[in-house]
Amino acid sequence: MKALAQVKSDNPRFVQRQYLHELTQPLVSSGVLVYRAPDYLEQKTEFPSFQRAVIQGDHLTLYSSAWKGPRTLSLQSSPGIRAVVESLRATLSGQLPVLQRSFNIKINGSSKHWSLEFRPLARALKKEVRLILLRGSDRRIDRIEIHYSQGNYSITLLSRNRP
Amino acid sequence: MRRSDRWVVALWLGVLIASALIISRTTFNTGISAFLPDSPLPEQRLLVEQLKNGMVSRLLLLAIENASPSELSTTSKVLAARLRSDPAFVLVQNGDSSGVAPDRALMWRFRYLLSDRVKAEAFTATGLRLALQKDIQLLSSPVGFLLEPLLANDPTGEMLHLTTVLQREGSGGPHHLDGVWFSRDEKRALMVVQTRSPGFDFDAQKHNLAKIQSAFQASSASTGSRQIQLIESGPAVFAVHMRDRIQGNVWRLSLVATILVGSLLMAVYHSVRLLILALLPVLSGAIVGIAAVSLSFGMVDAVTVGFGASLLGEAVDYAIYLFSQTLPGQSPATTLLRIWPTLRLGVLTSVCGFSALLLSDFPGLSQIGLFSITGLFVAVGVTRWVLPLLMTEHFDPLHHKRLFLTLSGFASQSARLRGPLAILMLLTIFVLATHRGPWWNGHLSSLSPISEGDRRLDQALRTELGAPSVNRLIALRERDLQQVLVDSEQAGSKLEGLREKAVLAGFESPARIMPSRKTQIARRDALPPPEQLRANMRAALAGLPFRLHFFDPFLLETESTRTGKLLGRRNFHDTTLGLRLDSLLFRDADHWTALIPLREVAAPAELKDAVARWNIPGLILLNIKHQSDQLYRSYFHTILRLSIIGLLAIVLLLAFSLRSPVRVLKVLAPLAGAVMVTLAILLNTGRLLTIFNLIGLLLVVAVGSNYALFFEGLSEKGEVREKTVFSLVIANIGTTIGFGTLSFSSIPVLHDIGTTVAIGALLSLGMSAILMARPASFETSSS
Repeated sequence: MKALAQVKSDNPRFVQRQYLHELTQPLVSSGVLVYRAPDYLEQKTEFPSFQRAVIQGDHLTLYSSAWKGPRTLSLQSSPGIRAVVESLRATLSGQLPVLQRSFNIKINGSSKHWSLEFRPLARALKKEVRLILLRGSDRRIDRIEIHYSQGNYSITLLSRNRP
Repeated sequence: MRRSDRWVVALWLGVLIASALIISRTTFNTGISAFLPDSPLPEQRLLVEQLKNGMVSRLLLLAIENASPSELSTTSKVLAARLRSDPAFVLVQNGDSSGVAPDRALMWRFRYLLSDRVKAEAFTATGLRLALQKDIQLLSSPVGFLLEPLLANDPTGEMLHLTTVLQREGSGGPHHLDGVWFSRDEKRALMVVQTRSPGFDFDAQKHNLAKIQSAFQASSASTGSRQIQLIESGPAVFAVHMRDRIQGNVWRLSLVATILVGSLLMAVYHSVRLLILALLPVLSGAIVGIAAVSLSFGMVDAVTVGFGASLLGEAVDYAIYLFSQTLPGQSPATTLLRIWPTLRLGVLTSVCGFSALLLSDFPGLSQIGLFSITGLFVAVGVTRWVLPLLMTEHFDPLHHKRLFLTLSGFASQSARLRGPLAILMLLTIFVLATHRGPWWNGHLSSLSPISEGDRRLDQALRTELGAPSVNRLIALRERDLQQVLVDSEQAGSKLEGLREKAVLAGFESPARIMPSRKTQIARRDALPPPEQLRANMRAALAGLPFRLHFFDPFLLETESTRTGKLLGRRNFHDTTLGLRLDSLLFRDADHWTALIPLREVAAPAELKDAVARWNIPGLILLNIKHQSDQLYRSYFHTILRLSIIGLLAIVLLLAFSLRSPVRVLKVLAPLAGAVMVTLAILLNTGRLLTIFNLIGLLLVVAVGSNYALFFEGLSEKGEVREKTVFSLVIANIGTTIGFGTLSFSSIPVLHDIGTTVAIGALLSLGMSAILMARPASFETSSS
């Protein structure tokens, strides 16, 4: 997994499909994900409408046309988002052991094609996020699967134009 | 004893007994608020009232430090749980979710009455469709799953809107770690506690603080960390510590002054009887003084009693003059006849000085003034009429003969020090003329007995908790609660306009937390009846991916709001919102006051102009810092004016008694010198001068004039002269001890006056000797 830590920045395109129980069909959105070591993450949605979520340090700021101005929230005050962000950050920086206190982590596959399972340990958190599943090949994450409560889940596929 | 003498003693004892009776029924106030003056302007009164009694005074800020973050957060959680189970604490907030659950419940239940976005058009098919489209957009964002559980009940997103609007503006709340509040450097876990008892109920607050301490001991024991510490701050903490300090101070100061003056008297007179006699006038003065304060103020400040130490130092002088100036073979009555005119004049000048205090706007200072004036009159009266009757044993000066001669010799030789004195005065003038920066501390806080360190800690904790102190606020006053809320809403909508023009960054308003009934009814009426809303929703959903009956809970809840009760003050029980509401909306006598704190005002002039045009009755725009500094300036000018009047009164008194401009000048010259040198010394200690230093300077003149007067009258030769000089030196040491002990006090009023007068009194004696002693008399006395 250490190999991932050598990647200092990444900006794959993403396609996200959300399966929510209130919806009659999955919600599809796409755009670009940006990662810069050590802790900068950004989700830039271009379809169906423009929206940016910037995660840096302890804060998530959302720029959305649904709201007047940007809104910031502390990750500490929203454990669900924090769990997702932490699992991504730890994977990207190769520091999984740090998370072993708060997640049950399973590694499967080979270094060529690997998958990581994060299951939160805290009971309160389990109610928000049941499972985070990351799949990748070599040094890259290819697929992010997040299972929320009430059978809701989302699958995000990442793709890169190989040079 | 003659018959008339018996009457004198009887009268004296009678007054003492009556005074003791009054004192036994007196309440002693150990607060410090008496040293916040009564204010003339309504906005200033509001400020002072808030300082004294506001809801804010019930808040305690706690910080746990000196352990690892995980130990700190564990302790914070356990401590919070313990405190929450104690009914003495209305609210305990450490950032964990159980603290905000009641707030969320309240906001959720009344969201359609609280939200300013509730308007008829928001619930039409078009309005709802717009809201649903935004929901879909947000669902695909990382925060989507936070909103998802609320969606079925709240498709228009009022809850999210309210959490943003009602959240502490700007900072987004304190820093979190492990689910509890932390300082940004993660070295302190933070907590806010609201007590049931008001901040000025010292006994209750002291009890509360003890409870918190023992809960903390129990909570931290489980972590096993030994260094872990609890810091407490907040108005109530200050008040309790202050009271302990005042009480400790008052007793210690009085005791130290009594022991020191007693030792001095024993060293000089070698007689317990004389010691007791010397203390009689002082004690009588103090007892009657306190009784007089009690009668005219209804209570006595502990600080006033603390000032007794200085009275002791000054009033003991009278007995010293009497004892020391009595010649062998002469009766005390004869001595009194000789020194009475000087003594009387000395007392009157002192009284002129203390009158400035009596007339000031500070209830605390007036008390000190009345106490001192009464005390001095009684002390001199007892010295004049009672002591001679009790003095059967004559003071035997024999074993001090040598000391007399030495002192007298010094006095005569002191004229030789006129050269060095001239140099000292030139130096002083130079220091005063070239002093850079301001002389006076222009801030109200300089009167506050809270130490600089405590104040800084408090400010740091407040900033970390995202509740920085505001500088400007709007205050609204009305007889009727609903009217003051309506006014607040009106001001709020205008402020919103100014915020869009970037005149200010934001504001808080009680009407946001509890809208007026009028507004609530308007919002309730904006909600369509159920069939109508169902039809609108159905139309809005066309073409969107939501399931058809998914929003049924929303339809039900709007209906229950539409037919339910309005939000009232009772609903805020146990919530932090209620706490904020109480700090922004409170009742005094027959009026309601609403406060609207303004954040980061960028264009103060524009704000002021705009506010003036609003035409909302009872509205005041307050600049707290400015107001409090102005308040201070007005006190300062009052005290300055009174000091000048006091000074003029002293000069007039001297002119009337001495009947010679030259003699008046001779008496005033050393006093002026002493004041200037004292001023130079104080300025060079690096502290800015306060009102209390100014009062001290006036008292230097009032007290120092006694020495100058005796020196001025010092034309006789021989034994009388020796004895007078001796008595002056002893009396001066007594005064310096009395005021000097005050300078060790940590209470500004005592410390500043004490330091100033102690330095000034010593200098007055020295300068009087240097300027007025006559070398000629030295030859005769030594022959």
